[in-house]
Formats: sequence, structure tokens, C-alpha cells
Amino acid sequence: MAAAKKILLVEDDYFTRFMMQEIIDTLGIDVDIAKNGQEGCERLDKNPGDYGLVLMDIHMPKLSGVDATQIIRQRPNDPPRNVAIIAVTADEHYHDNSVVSKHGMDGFIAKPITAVELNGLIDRYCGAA
Amino acid sequence: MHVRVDRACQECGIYAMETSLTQLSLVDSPATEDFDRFTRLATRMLGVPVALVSIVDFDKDRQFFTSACGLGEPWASQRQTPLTHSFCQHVVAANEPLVIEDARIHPLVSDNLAIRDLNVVAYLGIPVTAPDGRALGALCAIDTRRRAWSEGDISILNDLGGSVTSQIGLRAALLASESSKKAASQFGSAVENSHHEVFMFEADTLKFTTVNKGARFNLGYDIAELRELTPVDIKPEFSQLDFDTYIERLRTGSVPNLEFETKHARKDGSTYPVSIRLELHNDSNMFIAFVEDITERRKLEKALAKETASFLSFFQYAPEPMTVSAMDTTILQANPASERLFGLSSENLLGTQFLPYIPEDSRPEVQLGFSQATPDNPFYSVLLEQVMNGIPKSLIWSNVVQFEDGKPSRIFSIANDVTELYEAKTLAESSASEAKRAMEIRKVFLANMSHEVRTPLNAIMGLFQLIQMADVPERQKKQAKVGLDASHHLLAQLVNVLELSRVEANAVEIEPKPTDIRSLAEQWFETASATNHRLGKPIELSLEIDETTPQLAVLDERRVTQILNNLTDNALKFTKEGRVTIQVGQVSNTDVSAPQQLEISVSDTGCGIACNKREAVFERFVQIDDAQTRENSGSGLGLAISRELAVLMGGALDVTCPSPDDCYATTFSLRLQSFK
Repeated sequence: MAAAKKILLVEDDYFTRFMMQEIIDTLGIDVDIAKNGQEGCERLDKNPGDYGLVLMDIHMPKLSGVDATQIIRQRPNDPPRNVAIIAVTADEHYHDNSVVSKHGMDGFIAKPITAVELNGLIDRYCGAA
Repeated sequence: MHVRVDRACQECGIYAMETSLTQLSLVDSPATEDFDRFTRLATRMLGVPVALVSIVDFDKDRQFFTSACGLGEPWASQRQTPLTHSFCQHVVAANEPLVIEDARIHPLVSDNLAIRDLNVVAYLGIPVTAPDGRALGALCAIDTRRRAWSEGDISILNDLGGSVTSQIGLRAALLASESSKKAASQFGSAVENSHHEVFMFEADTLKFTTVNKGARFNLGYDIAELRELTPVDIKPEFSQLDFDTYIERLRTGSVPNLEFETKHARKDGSTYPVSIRLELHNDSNMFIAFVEDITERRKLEKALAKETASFLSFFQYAPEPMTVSAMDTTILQANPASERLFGLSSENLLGTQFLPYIPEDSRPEVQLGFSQATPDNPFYSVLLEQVMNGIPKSLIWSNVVQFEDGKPSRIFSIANDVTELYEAKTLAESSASEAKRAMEIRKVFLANMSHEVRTPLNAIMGLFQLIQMADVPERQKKQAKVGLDASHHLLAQLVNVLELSRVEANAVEIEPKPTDIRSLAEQWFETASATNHRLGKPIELSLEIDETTPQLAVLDERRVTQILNNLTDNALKFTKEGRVTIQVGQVSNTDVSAPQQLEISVSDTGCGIACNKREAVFERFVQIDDAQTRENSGSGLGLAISRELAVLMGGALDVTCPSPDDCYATTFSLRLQSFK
């Protein structure tokens, strides 16, 4: 039985970071935080095997979620190349599976998020198999 | 060669001679004693068998015997021969007597056919001439044997020839006098019958001697009455002294004639305007006056003057600047409005060229425009941006080029000041583009707004959920739930307000795609089921899909779903118990050619809507029942948005009146033209 994998939360908004971190904590999963796409990529490159799921905000300074995803998908190694990336965004444009998959992401959850949705994702991607 | 040159000279006068020959009865006329007596005399006095007056008619290649004495047949009857038989032509050509002793050995005529055919051997010819000295023919004496003509012979024939010439001259004089008499009488009759007045009066007494019909008619006097009158009597504007003084210049010969306008008085005392030309004929010592009644002309002049005056006042007072310019744009006339436009007084404006006032880059176009004007299409108009008197103006210049004898001579121009119109237009254009820009800004703002509000709300709601999940007292969980519900409400409100704004800002794009209707309907049903489950009311939810519904429809899945979720939410919210049914089908249409429509209805057994309030549900912020409002939260925007979206997709959203035997209270139907 392998240990449950971690979540990488890439989010620039402080309130959201705090809330998400609290919920994920409560759900009993380890979470690492990146404040923008750039940091997100660095974290992934550092410990590519640690993460079962990347929760990716879209609109962020320095490097957006879309650009960061593109970079990750072009990495030579897997992991991190094929890590699950879920868009977490308030932008309705991305509330569409066909749109996010075009950008190389595996799905989306709309802000405001619900704990139930998050729990479903954790079960799916980070579960101890 | 010598002869031919002379003939060519003769030919120059052929027509004139021919006319006069016929007119003088010298050719093609019966023989007359006028000439016969001379040929008879010649034969007798010279003792020759034949004497002729032969007129040489080069044009008809013949000689005509105006008179012939002793000539044999057939020539005597024919009275002419071709020029091949003519000795006389040589007399005419040289206009000299021709003396031939023996034709058979004479170099000029040795091959002449008259030697053989008319038996001519000796010949003596004297020219006969027209009054102007031209030789017309010859008086000739002919002998059938060789003869040496004596000085006496030649002298006699010369005298007789002179007499023939005199006879011709007499005839010509008679003819001239007859034709001039005829012409004079024709002219006199024309003068007599002319509508103009023609007077002759004596230079000394001034009494009329001859007055034509026109004058008698106009004045109302007969000729006898007029002979007692002088021009002064019929010219009320002249005294005797005035008239004498006036015509003195003619008498002294300092001017050849006088032309003036005055009035003539009729016998009945009435007057009329006349134009007079007066001459003094010194030969007859008579004055001749040619008088024209200019009543009509005066009327026309008056009318013209009136029109000119009214045009001038129009020109003077028109608010539009008007100019008349030469083709080089030198201004010749300008109205006060032009003076104001140019900011120049009339004396400074006249003589100024217009061209420098035209912006340099427009000048070639304007010059081309004027040069292309034709008498058929003399108009040219142009819009110019000009600085006039220091003020920038937009002026439409309408020009007409006037042509004189086919050449452009003047440009008439009227300016229409459209400065304000153009400013207004520019302003309108800029405000239109500003409005468009504002719309763009609004679209961006709405997109940002949605994002910016959702983000903190996301944190708030997440934290409320966190509290619910935590191990805390039940009371706090309840507090967190209310906080979460309030947040939900706030979010719903926000979403709807933004959505409506976006629809209004045309920021919603419809993206129709072929869509599987049945699976889409299943999704709607699932969503409604979840809501139904959450609300926990005893409602039986069902989905009915008509068998005739096609598999695929072209529609914007997201927008249709948005409407359907809204409708099922409403139905479930306002129904306490009973049924909510989603029906999908095709609109049954009797008109086959009409486009097919998809109809999606949501019916419920809820509180119903009063008939007179049916349309009100689509207004903003409306919930029909205030009491229900507290119970059923909602922004009151859902149906307004849904209808806007339906219209945007070319469809319609209506609330229909269920039939009395229908167990449903309310049915909302969405119709879409979506089949392909």
C-alpha cells in the first residue's frame, strides 16, 4: 500500500489558498503551495513524483495556469509530464471540459468550490492504492 | 497650244456667257432681222456666197448661227455645227479679225472639216463682242474658192461687225434695264407691304411724300392725310426746333444716318414706342425713315428688367454666398454673403482669384472639374475644407459653367456652408465609436467583475464548508450553514446580474453545434433530480421525449442548458407537491415549408400564475407572490435572462395557459429553430 500522494495547489489569492489548504488538510491530504505558475513548475520539477494532483488557478501573475500547464506537458520526463491537472477558476470561459482539455488539463472545478467536489478529486487522483 | 490656252481662259467665263447668250437671244432663238440685215449686206457688199453671224458656244462644243445668209442645207436648217467645223472659234479665241485666202493651205484651219463639208475655201471673220469686250462670236464672209481679201473687204466687214456688236450691246442694255425695273418693283412692293414703317419726306419742307402700308396702318392716317404732315406731327416728344436741330447733322453730312428711339402718335392720339433709322438721300433730296414699332420689345425689356431686378435682389439678400467668376477664377461679381464669407469688402473681393482660397491639394481636382464641364453638363460641385477669414469651414460649392459660342466663359458659384453639419457628423461618428469602445470596456469589466467577486466568495464559502466539516457544536454548524446559504444566494444574485448585463452588452456569444438531444435532456433531468433531492419535497420528476424528436439538433448546449436549469429550478422551487415534467418534442406544424422547431417544456403543479401576470414573470426583479418571495429566494432575474437568451438564439420562451383539463398549473415552453 503506497502512501497517498500530495496535492500541489497553485493559487495566487491568499484567501483561497488559506481556505483550500484548510479543506485539504481536513480531508487528510498533504498539500504544497505555489503562489503562481512559475513556482508551481519549480515545485513539480523538484519533486516530480510527490504529487497526485495539481489544482491550477488560471489567472495568476508571472505565469498563468494555462502557460504553466503547457510547460508541464512539454517536460521530457514523466512525472511530471502526465500529472493530473485540474483548473480551479472563477472564469466561466474555462467552465467547459472541451476548453480545459484543449489546454492540456484534465478537468475543472468552478469557484466557488465545494468540499464535495474536492473530495471527489482527491479520491480519484490521490487515493492510496 | 496657243488656241488651247485661250480656250481655257474662255472656259472661266462659260457660265456667265452662256447665261447671257441665252438671255440676249443670241443662241437657240429664231432668226431675226436685227442680225439678218447685216449678213445680207455682207454677201451683197463683198460679193460672197455666204455670210454668217456665228456665236461660239464652247460649253456645248458648237457654233450657233444667229444669222446665216446663203448657207446650204442641212446647215441652214440646223443653224449650228460642231466646233470641228468652226473657223469662227479662232476669231473668238484671238478676239482679232481672221483673214484666210485659202483654207486648204492655211496652217490654222487646213484640217478643219468645214473645208470638206461646207465647202469653205476663203474666210474673213470679224469678232463680235459683248458690252464688256469679250468676244462672243464672229461676223464672217465665206467664199467657195480661193480669194485674196482686199483692204476694202476687211474694212466693210469690220464696220458691219461693229454694227452687230452694237446690236448685241443694245440688247444687253435693254435686258439690264428690264431686270432692274423688275427688281425695283419687287423691292418696292416688299417695302410697301412691310410691317415696318417706311417714310420718305422732303429735305426742305419735311412733308411726307411716300409712306408705306405698314406706316399708314400703324398711324391710322391715309396717304393723302399724311402728305399734309411732317415727322414732327407724329413725334410728340419732338418740337419743330428739336427735330431741326436733331437732323442738322444729316444735313451737314457729319453722320451718314441717325438711329434713335422715340414715340409715334396715332391719328387717335394714342402713342407707341418706335425705333427709327433716318437717312438723307442727297440725290433725291429726300429723307428716308425706317421705323420699327417696338411695343413688344419694350414689353419684353420691361419683363426682363423686372426679372433681373428680382434676381438681383435674390443675389443681394440670399444668405448663401454667390459669385460670378472668370474661368481663371477671378471674381467678377459677388453678393454680400460672399463678402462676409471671404471677409473682404466688395471692392477688395472683385478681381481677387478664387483659387488661392482652395486648399492646395484640392486645386487640381477643382480645375479638372471646371475643365470637364460641357454645354450639356455644365454642373460641377465639390466639397472643400477651406479657411475663410480665419475660420475653418466645410463648404459645398455648386458651380455652373456658362458657355459662349461653345467656349466656357463664366463660372456661377453658390456655396452651401455645411461646417456645422460636418461637425455634427464627425461628432456623431466619434460618439458612435466611443459608444462601441464603452461597450467593449463594459464587456471586459463584466468578465473581470465576475472573476473578481467570485474569488473572495470562493474563500468565504469554502471556509463555511470547512466549519461544517469540523468537529464543532451543532449550533455553530447551523451558523456556518446559514452563512453558506447566504453566500450561495449572493453568488446566484451576482451570477444573474452579470449574466443579464452581458446579454444586454451583447457580450454573450451563441455557439450552435450539432448536439445529441436525448443525452442532453438526460443531463437536465439529472440536474433537476439533484435539486429535487436537495429540496426534499414530494415531487415526482419525469422526462418525456417525443418519439419524433430527431437525434441531433444544432444548438448552443450551454445556453439551452442554462435556460432549462433555470426553468426546472423555478418549477421545483414553486411546487410543494405533485409533478414536474420536462417534455422534449418537435413543434407540430401544418406548414411543411416552415422551418422545424424544437420545443422543450417544463410543467409543474405549483402555485400557478394568474393569467394577467403571465408576461410579468419575464420582467426583472419580479416574483409574482410577495409571500412566496420570502419562502422562495431568487434574484428575479432568471426568467428575464432566459428569455433574452432564447431570443438571442432566434427562439422564444413563453409561459402557456394550460388547458382546463390539464392537471399542470404552469408550463414554460422554449421553442428553438434548431433542426438542420
